[in-house]
Formats: sequence, structure tokens, C-alpha cells
Amino acid sequence: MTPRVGSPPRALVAAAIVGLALFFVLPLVGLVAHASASSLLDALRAPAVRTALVLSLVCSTAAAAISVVAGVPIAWLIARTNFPGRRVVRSLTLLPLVLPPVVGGVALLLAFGRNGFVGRALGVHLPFTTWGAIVAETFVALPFLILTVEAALRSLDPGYEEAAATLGAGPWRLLFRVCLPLIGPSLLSGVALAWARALGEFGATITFAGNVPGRTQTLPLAVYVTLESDPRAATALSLILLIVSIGVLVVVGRRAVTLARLQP
Amino acid sequence: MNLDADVDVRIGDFTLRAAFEAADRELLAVAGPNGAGKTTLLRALAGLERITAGRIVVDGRVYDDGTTFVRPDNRDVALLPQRDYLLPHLSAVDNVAFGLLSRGAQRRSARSAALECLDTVGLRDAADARPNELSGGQARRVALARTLAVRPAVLLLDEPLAAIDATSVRVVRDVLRDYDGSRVRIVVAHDAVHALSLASRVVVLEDGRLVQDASVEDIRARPRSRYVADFLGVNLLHGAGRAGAIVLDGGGEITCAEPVEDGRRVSALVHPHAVALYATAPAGSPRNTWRLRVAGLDATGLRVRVRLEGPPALVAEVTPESAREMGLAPGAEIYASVKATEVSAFSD
Repeated sequence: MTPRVGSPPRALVAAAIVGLALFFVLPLVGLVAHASASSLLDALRAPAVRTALVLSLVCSTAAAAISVVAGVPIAWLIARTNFPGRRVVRSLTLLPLVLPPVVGGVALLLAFGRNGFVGRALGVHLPFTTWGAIVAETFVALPFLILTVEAALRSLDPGYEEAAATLGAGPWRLLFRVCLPLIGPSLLSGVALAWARALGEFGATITFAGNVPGRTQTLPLAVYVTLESDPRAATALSLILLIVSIGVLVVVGRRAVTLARLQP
Repeated sequence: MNLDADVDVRIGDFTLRAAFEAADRELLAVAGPNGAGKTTLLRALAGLERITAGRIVVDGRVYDDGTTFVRPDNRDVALLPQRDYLLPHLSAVDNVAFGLLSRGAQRRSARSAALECLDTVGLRDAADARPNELSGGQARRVALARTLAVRPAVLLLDEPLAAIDATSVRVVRDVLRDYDGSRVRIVVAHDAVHALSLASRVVVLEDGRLVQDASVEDIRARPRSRYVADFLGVNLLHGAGRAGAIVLDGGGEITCAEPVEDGRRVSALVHPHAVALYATAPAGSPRNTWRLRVAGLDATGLRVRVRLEGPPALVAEVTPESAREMGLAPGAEIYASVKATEVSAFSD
């Protein structure tokens, strides 16, 4: 550790402690304290819960994958090109971050729903299907990936790609063999953020895809529904979500750190 | 003739204009002060900057003429940048093989060729090392091997000898001199010794302009600017002819053996070792004798270079013994004298 001049102001430390307690520690304590091991096991044994859990994992993973496929090209265009309206496009891709998810769900419904203009034109029917849930989750997760990858691309020294280009590497080779490996850690943390956002997605999913057990009822939806009928089960479900989220973040976080060490 | 470059590049406020040709088997040094446009010139040749006017033609193929533009990866040109830019996620041998694979080589043949190139720079043992495990000099040698491996028609090296250890300097210099895979080698150097020990010809850039393009011998005998004179350690005085002598722009006058026509712009070249220093006024010819103040002393090897405040500002070269005997120190006033036969004047 680098020694710093002086010690931090006490008020700053106090504010940090209060903030940590109010918004991080106490809610988690509440959740963990109300759950018991038996209720957790009961919940895991219930087929409906297992279905919701598997569906959540499938949907969030699919949403994260689609975010990569769609997000990397968008981030690349925003970071590397200077097309007219680039700033507008950039703001547009960040919109789902600030837009209430329910509004996002309504927007998706008006575009891709049974009577939506795209749905009618193409004959696709997404609401009440698992694909609908995936689309809703991608909608809210994509900005996280774009934001992270774009920042990484911007801060990437162009010298690597330039040197590789003069050695004969074409644009695709530059992208897959130079650019993406170099921003690997950022890409991975972007994927983790997008995945986590998709896993917790509620508003857009329930508005656009509905709440169909086994097809669109992901864990957050199951928690919400169960909370009214069986608060203990809802607590257990919440704990499952918490454990899965932490587990993935720890694994991905470690990997990102290892990759970051390889960077110059 | 292999390379024909007439380059006009504009980047913000900076403009580079340079035209030169490079012949078969030539090793060309590009010299000049910082910010002169040396790196920009290499980048234009490599296709990393577009030219705004002029042309770049290699072996009769137009790479850039303002309308036609060939991408860097489609040019038979490779660049070793100043900061190496080895790929951190690849081992040394994979870094060297990268260009070969990019140019369509098979995996196995690329690997064995890469190992051979690593051997050339003395780093076969480091084949599996990651770039962050290499020293600065080793990284430069791997980067050099990576650039040589693709055997480009035009090889561009940006300060390949800068900021590396003595062993690596020797390796890089020897490899560059013996390398015959490229027909044109262009080396940017701001260290005169490196540039002159490597190259047969020097192109000098200053402030975005090509100020001189000449053989090493020619540039030593007839430097065309203060920078080139300093760069190669000779005095270059500019002025105009009057009554046979040269009236210098910075004040004072100097006489050379041949009379100079009135009004003619000339440069007078005086080798520092031809500038004689005296503690007291020398007897004999009063011409070309000045009372000057010592601005500073630089020891270079077995000689001391004495910088003298003008006019005319001169550099003299004396032995450490005579510097001591005369009590040369900054601020000291001495007499400097140059024989007219030691002054060579040539028209600007």
C-alpha cells in the first residue's frame, strides 16, 4: 500500500459506514436472518421453484450472450467510428439504464407484441414465451455491456492494433486476436454486470412476457408472487437468488483479476 | 528502385512534407529533432496515416496517392513501433508467429519460422515467455523478430536502438545490418552514432520539412542546417558574400580560401577540430580570429567540445590537456581562430 498523507476526515468515514450499513449490510442481514436452512431446502425441493431457478439461469445467460453478440459491435461503432448522430446513438443505448423497466416492457409490447408493428409485420409472437423473457432481460442488460466495452475500447492504446495491422492482420483478425483479448477483463466484467442485471430483471419481463410459470416466470417474478401467499418461501427464493448472484460474481471477478494481471 | 515517396501529411496544425526515393538493398536513416515528423513519415509509409497529397509507390504499386489507399495489412510494409506493442496475451513465439499467420502461413510452419527468428535475435530460450516477463531490451528484440519474420519489402523501424541495454543494442544493430529479407530498410534514429553506424544514407527532417537527403559522407561534409551540423558535430555558418568574405547572419564575418561573390547566400562549414583556441591574441593573420566567451564544455571520449558564444557561435574540439592548460571554463574569454583553408563554403 502506498502511504497517504494524513488520515481521512472522520465525518467521511462515518458517512461511509452509515451508507454501508443502511444499504448493504442491514438488508442482507434481514434476508439471511429470516431464512432458515430448512425453508431453503424445502424451497429447493419444490418443483415450481426449481423450474423458476432453471428458467432464470437460462434466460439471464441467453440475455448475457445476446448482449455480447449485439453489444460488442454497437460499442465498437460508438467507440471507433465517427458517424453522424453517434452521440445520439450513444445516448439511445444508455436509455434502458434510466428508463423504468415497466416502461421498457410497454415499449417492447408496442413493438414486438401481438399488435405491435414489428410483431404484426413479421408475424412473430414473443409475449408469454421464454424468448419474450429473454428479449426483456436483454433490453435492460445490454447497456451495461455496451458501457463497459465502449470504455475499454476507448482507453485501449491503438498502437497494438496498428502494429498488428502492419504485420498483415486484417480487420477481423484485429478484432478477434488483438482487440477482444486486450479488453478481455473489461468484456468479462461487462458480461457479469449484464448477466446480473438480467437475472434480477422484473418490470420489463412481467410487462412484456407476462408471468407464466415454466415459460416466463423467472425467480424474481416467483419471489413477488410467493411473497403474498407464503412469505417464508419468498425469503428462501430471495436467498437462492442472492447465493447464485454472489457465486457468479466471485467466479467471474477472480477470472477478471487474473486476466487483468496479464495486461502491461 | 523500390520505394518512391512524396508525402504530404497534415495532422492538426502539423504538416509533414517530404519526398525521397529508396533504392534496392538500401538502409536509410531518418534523422531529425523531436517533433520533426519522423514517426509520422513512417506511419504514412505503413498506411497508418493517409497522405493529403503526393504518392507512395512500392515496386510500381501505388499504396497511397490521395485517392487510392491500400490498407496497412495489404501493404508489403512492416513497422516496428517505438513502444514495441507486443501482444500481452501471447507468448514471445506466438507474437513472432502472429504476422506470419496473418499473412496466411500454416500454424506449424509459422511456429518453426518464428522460432528461427527468435534464434536470430538470441532469444530462442525465451520463446514461451510472456511479454511482461521480458526485459525492455528482450521485448525490443522479440518485436524486431516479429517484424523481420514477415520479410516485408519495406521494413520500417522507429528508434529501434532507443532505451535498451547495451547487449540488445548490439544484437539489434547486427541483425539489422545483416538482415537481407527486405529490399528497403528505413530506420528512424535521433542518435547520430546509431544512425551513421547503420545507414548508408540519411534523410533529415526538421519541423515537418525534409532539409537534407544525402549519403553519410556527403551529409558529414555538407550539412544543410544547424541541426545537421550539430547532429554530426560540425559548425555550419550561414551568411552572404561581401568583398570576398562571408557576412554571417548572426553577426561577424568569416573568410574562406575561395572568394565568395557579393550577395550570394552561402553556408560555411568548419570542423570543430579546425577551430584553434588561444588564451592570448594569436600572432599572424588577423582574419578569422574572434574573441569569444566559453559557453560550456562537453567531454566526448578523448576530446573536449568547447561551445563558444557568438558571434560567431562555434564549437571547437580540443584535448583535455590543452583545455586544462588554457583554463577553459564557462565564462572564460579566449581567442578562436580558423584558417581560411579550413573553411569550406557552398551555395545554399
